[in-house]
Amino acid sequence: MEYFAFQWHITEACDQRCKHCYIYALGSHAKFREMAVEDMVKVIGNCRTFCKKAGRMPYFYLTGGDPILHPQFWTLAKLLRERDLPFAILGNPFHLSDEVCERLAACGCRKYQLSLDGLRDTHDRIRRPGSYDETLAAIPPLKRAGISVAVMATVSKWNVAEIPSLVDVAVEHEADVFAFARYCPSRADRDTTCSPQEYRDMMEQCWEKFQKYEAEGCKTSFNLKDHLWTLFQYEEGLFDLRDYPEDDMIYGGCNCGNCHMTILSDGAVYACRRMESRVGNVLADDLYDLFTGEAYEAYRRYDKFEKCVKCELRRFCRGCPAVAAGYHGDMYAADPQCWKEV
Amino acid sequence: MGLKNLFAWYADAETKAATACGTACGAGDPKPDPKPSACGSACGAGDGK
Repeated sequence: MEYFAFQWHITEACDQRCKHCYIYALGSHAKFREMAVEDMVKVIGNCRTFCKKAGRMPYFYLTGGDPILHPQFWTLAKLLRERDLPFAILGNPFHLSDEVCERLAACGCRKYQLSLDGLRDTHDRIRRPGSYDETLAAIPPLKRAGISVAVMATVSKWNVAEIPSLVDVAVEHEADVFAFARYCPSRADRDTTCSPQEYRDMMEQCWEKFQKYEAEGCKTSFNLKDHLWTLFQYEEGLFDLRDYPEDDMIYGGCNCGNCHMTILSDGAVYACRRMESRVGNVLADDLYDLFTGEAYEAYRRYDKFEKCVKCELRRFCRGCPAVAAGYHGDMYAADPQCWKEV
Repeated sequence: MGLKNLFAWYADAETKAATACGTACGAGDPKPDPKPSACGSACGAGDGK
């Protein structure tokens, strides 16, 4: 049975103020929003019911802010443990001692995702002074506790030149997974995005490193997260459309509306956290009804992608609709980093 | 087009699992797959690597 992923922002509390954060982009907060424990119990129940109806296994990605800063974080971890529900954490490195990591593992935490947004100076400028070194220092205690470590970069014009070097850093520090995704701009900061050629050039450099490290038996997995990797691989002759015969079937590409949903600390359900996509509220709505209803279908109009409808990769790629939404104001507009001419 | 066109929703799944794009990898064993997870995650739900 497949998993269904719930990206669950349990709090907005954070001890970083990353320049690209979608939470703090909304302005200063007099009070961090965090979910109450009784609501967390409802969320878990609603998610489990959804999964039962959908024939899926739930998998939670706890995040925030930094989820470990929620005053009831360990209560939640215990609730998940008691229900045998696996979870991962997307969080900061600042509170991860050996003791904490062991406790996370005992509660059922399987993975911890850290962020690296460039080499030291660039990363610290984006996140906070000292963050780069603290991030790398958090990898060993997590691994000692048996927790898989993922390192992810958010790519923009600020750091695109350094992403290939981050591959080396991830390998050197024995991260289990490395991946990157793009910053979602707003229309006001489109100048933070790369040109299509810049982005493709960076991917090519990364691809060469991935191949080299894999040939050497490297233990780090390089996850091809950005859907433009499909275009890249197609152009390299590594992806054969003939393996996918049904013209109206969506086989891959953006998974918004497919196999994950996001829940915010006030219960709002988003089809995709990276764009404005509120579809309901987990504390008021049945998730299965939401997911199979009209609010969600608005994110599955696969024939509305302006550029992709003319592309033979429409069933597999479609770029990142959230980046298109931020850049153009329309998720169905062309992905601004897609270099393919159609 | 909509949910009815999603292969992953109807097909017997093998290992593919997904996450939002904030996650680096998706749920699944053993080598991480991009899905399922949201794009904030580097990998998807699952065990192992």
